[in-house]
Amino acid sequence: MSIIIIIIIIFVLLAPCLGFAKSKGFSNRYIEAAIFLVIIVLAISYLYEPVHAIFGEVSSCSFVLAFALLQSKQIKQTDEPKKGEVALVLRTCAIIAVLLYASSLSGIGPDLYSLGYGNGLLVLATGAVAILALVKGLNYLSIWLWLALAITALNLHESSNFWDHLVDLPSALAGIVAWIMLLLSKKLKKDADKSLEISSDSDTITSPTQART
Amino acid sequence: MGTGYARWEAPDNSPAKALRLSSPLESLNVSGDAEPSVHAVSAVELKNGTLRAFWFGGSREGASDVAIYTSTLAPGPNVWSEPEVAISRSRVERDTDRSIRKLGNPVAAIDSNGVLWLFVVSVSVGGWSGSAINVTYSYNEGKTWEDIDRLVTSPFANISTLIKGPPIHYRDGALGLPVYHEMVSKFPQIVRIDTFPGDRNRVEGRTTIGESRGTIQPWIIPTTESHAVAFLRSSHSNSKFVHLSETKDGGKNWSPARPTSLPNPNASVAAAHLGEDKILLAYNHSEKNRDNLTLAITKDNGSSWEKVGAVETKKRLEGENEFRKVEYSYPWLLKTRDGDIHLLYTWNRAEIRHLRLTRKEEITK
Repeated sequence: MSIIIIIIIIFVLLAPCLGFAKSKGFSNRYIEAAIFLVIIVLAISYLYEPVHAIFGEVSSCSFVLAFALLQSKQIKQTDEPKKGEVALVLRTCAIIAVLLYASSLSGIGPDLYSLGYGNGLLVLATGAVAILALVKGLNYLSIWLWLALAITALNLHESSNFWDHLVDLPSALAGIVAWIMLLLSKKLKKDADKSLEISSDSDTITSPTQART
Repeated sequence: MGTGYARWEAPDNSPAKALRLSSPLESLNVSGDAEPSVHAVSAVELKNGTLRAFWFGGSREGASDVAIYTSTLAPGPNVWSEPEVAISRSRVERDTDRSIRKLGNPVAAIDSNGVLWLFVVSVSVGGWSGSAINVTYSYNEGKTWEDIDRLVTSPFANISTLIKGPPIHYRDGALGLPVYHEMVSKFPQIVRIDTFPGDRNRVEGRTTIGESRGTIQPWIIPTTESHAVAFLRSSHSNSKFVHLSETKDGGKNWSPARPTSLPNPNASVAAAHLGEDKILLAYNHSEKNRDNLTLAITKDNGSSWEKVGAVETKKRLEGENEFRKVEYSYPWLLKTRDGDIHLLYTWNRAEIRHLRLTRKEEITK
C-alpha cells in the first residue's frame, strides 16, 4: 500500500482515537507519541525515496492539511500572533487548494492549475511576497513561500507544477506543525489548569486559620 | 500555460493511397488466444517498418491480472508475433511505489529521437475515473523498458486523467498527449510532455480542449502546423454524435465541441490524415451499440462526411457466434511511412484484430 495512503489513514483514524483516549483519561504524552510516530514514518519514507514517499500521491497532503485545519480552529482563536500566522498560512493553502480543485475538476472557466506550469511570473510574485513577508516579520508565511521556491529551484517535487510546490509539502508540514501546536497548547492549558487546581487546593490547606473559623 | 504552445509537425499531405474496404476475413489476430479478455489497442511503426501493437489483456477488464501486452508485425509475412507482457501491474507498483489495482489503455508513441514511449493508465482506488497516467520508454523499440514514472497532471490527488489517442508531435520535440478527465465532469485536454532524456518532471503544461464538457477520448489530427481537429467520443445522453473541436493557433484556443453528422454510442473513435486534406475516421455507426465498425472520410475537417462502409457488422462470422454481445470497438488508425493505412480494433473483447486498408493495386476512390 502506498505510504501516503497509510499516512492519510493514520491521520484520519487519529482524531477519534485521540478523542477516545482523552475521554478515557489517557495522558497527552500518548497523543504526542502518536504524532511523533507519524512524523518518523514520514521522515523515514522521505529518506527512503524522496520522490515517491511524501509526495507519493501529490496533493494528498492537502487532505492532511484539511484535517489539520479542522483541528486548528482553536489556534486562530488565540491571541498569540504567531499562532494566528500559522492559521493564516493554513487558510491560504486551503483556499488555493479549493480553487485549484474546483477549476480542475469541473473544467469550467480558466484552468488555474495550468498557470502553475513554467510560469516565471508566478514564481517571481511568490518570491516578492516572500521577501515582503520577511520584512514584515511574518516568519511562518515567509518560510512557507521560501520552501515552495526551494522545491521549485531544486526540482524536488514529483510534479512540475508550481501550485503543487506551493500547496502540497508546505501544507502537509504546516498541518503537522498545527497539530503539534494545538496539542501542546492543550497540554499547556491542562497543565496550567492543574497547577491552578493544586494552587487553590494548597490555599485551602495552607489556610488553617480560616479552617478553624 | 507557460511553454505549452508550439506548432506541431505538419502532416504529410501528399496524395492518399486508395482505400479498400477489406473483408474482416482478411483481418489478422494480433493478440492470440492466451488472454480471455483484451481491449484498447494502440500501435506504432518502428524504424524498419515493423508494427508494434500494445493492448491490455487479462481475465476481464479491471481484473488484477490485467497486464499490458505487445506484439509485432514485421514486413513480409502477415503474422503477428507471439504476444509478450510489456508492463505488468506489479512492475508499475514497484516502480512507482504505489498500490495499483488495475491497468488500462496503453498508448504508444515514438519521439523525434526514435525513443519508444508507452503511456499506461492505472487505478489505485475506485473506478476508471480515479485513473492516473504512468509513463515509461524504451531505447530498443520495446524489447526492454526503463523505470516507470507517474505523470502529475491534476491537483486533486493526481487522479482522473486518462489517455486513449496517439500523442501529437510538437516541432520542438515535445509530445502532446490527448487526455481526458472523468471525475465530477468529463472533458478533454492536451498535456504537453518534455521528451528530453533524464527529465523527471515531464509535464510542461496542459490545455483544455474548448468548451467540450461531456466529451472524452480526443483523437487529434494536425492538418497544418497550427491547425488541428480533435475528434471526440460523446458521453452526452442527448447528443449521441461524434463531436469535434478545432484549433487554428497551435492549440492555444480550441473551438467549443460541436456534433458531427456521425452517430456515436459513447464509444471511442480513431482518425488518420490521408493526405490531400482528407481525414479518415473509424467509428461505430450507431447511437446505441458497438456492433459495427465503420469508416468515413471528410475533406472539410469534419463538416461533411462520406461513408466508406462498414468493416465489421453485427452479422457474425460462421463458427464465431458464441459471443453474447457483439462488440467491435476502440479502433486505432495508423498511417505508416509507405502510405498504408492500418486499422486495429477490439474484436468482441476476445481478440485484437488488424486490417490493412490500402493496396497499391486498388482503384483510387
